[in-house]
Amino acid sequence: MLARAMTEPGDAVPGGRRAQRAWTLITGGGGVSDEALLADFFAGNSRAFGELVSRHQRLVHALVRRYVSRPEDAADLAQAAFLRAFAAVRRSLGRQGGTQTGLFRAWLVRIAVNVGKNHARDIGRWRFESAEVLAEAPAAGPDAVALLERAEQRRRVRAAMACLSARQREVVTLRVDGGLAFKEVAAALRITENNAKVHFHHAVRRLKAAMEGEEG
Amino acid sequence: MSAPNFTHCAEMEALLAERASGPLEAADAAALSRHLLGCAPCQAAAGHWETLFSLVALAPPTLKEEAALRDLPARTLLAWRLREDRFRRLPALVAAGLLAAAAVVFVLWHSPQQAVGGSAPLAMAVETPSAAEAEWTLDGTSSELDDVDAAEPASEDATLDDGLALEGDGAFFLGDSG
Repeated sequence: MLARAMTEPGDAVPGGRRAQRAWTLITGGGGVSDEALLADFFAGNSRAFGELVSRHQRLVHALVRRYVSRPEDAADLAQAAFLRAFAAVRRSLGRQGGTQTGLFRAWLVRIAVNVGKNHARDIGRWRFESAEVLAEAPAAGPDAVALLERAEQRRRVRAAMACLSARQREVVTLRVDGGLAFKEVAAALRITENNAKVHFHHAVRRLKAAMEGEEG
Repeated sequence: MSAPNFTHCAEMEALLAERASGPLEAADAAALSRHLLGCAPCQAAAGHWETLFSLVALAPPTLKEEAALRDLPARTLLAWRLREDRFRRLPALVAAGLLAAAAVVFVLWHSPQQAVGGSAPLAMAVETPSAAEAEWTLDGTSSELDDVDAAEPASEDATLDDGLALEGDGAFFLGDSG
């Protein structure tokens, strides 16, 4: 399984390592809910802001990376997504006096996807490169055949990805890049969970056929 | 090249694909784990599915991206504070703009009254046509003359009569007809 640790509390809390350790003690190392941290932040505790960003930054970064042409732009898009999510939550707090559990993460994912899509629309680009494009250099020797075979599979899978509908591609990449559950994928794309699964399995059928040797 | 076999037990294929791409529901994950313990072909198929999704995945973040990620909480907080400062200053900026606009309106509003009182009218007030301009106007077509008649007082008396009505309306101040 493509295991990805998307929640890494305490990556970088403003205020230095000592402050970070103290904050970890206060929060129990991630045991505090997002909503409690939000309330804490809007009450004036800026450390809660850092904790929230640290907690979700890998997820948001992974989601927006697919939409940037230069890797260094991903951090800028992630920042934009966080700012919009905080502003949206504050508006919600103002209207309703509170947020539901899990709502911040759901909004953050949706906003990150939209920020990424808007950026991609502006620059007209979507990334197909797989994990090993840069890692695998042409080689000779006993592994050369395996590498060539893998390079050929990758070419076919990329071609098949390019032929998927935009929705199918989004569902697959939200699963693969963000490690999102189908429920979260559905919420991010504003479709039903069943619909997300249908898109996923249609896409997977084509990707599988491409890897088995049929052109996508 | 031999084609990878993704399917041995057809009922497990969907779960194998879902598990290789992301999290499963707890019940599905448990059922699949139990099945995989006793099914070697499905274990091999699970490996093929993982290979497939590794071809879809992006490369891991570079060192530069990791460095940018480490800075993200601090720089996002800074950006938030700058944004908040802008929002806090916005009402003051709007109020200052409104005050400035009100001051300009006030000055324009009161200048014509000063002109009626004897001081020189504002340069932007409409000027009465000079004699040469009047001649040119008279040379115009009848419709042009009608327009002029409609827009301007026909006599000195009319100007004076209208002067009361026009008093205080700087935008339509006709100035000294002298």
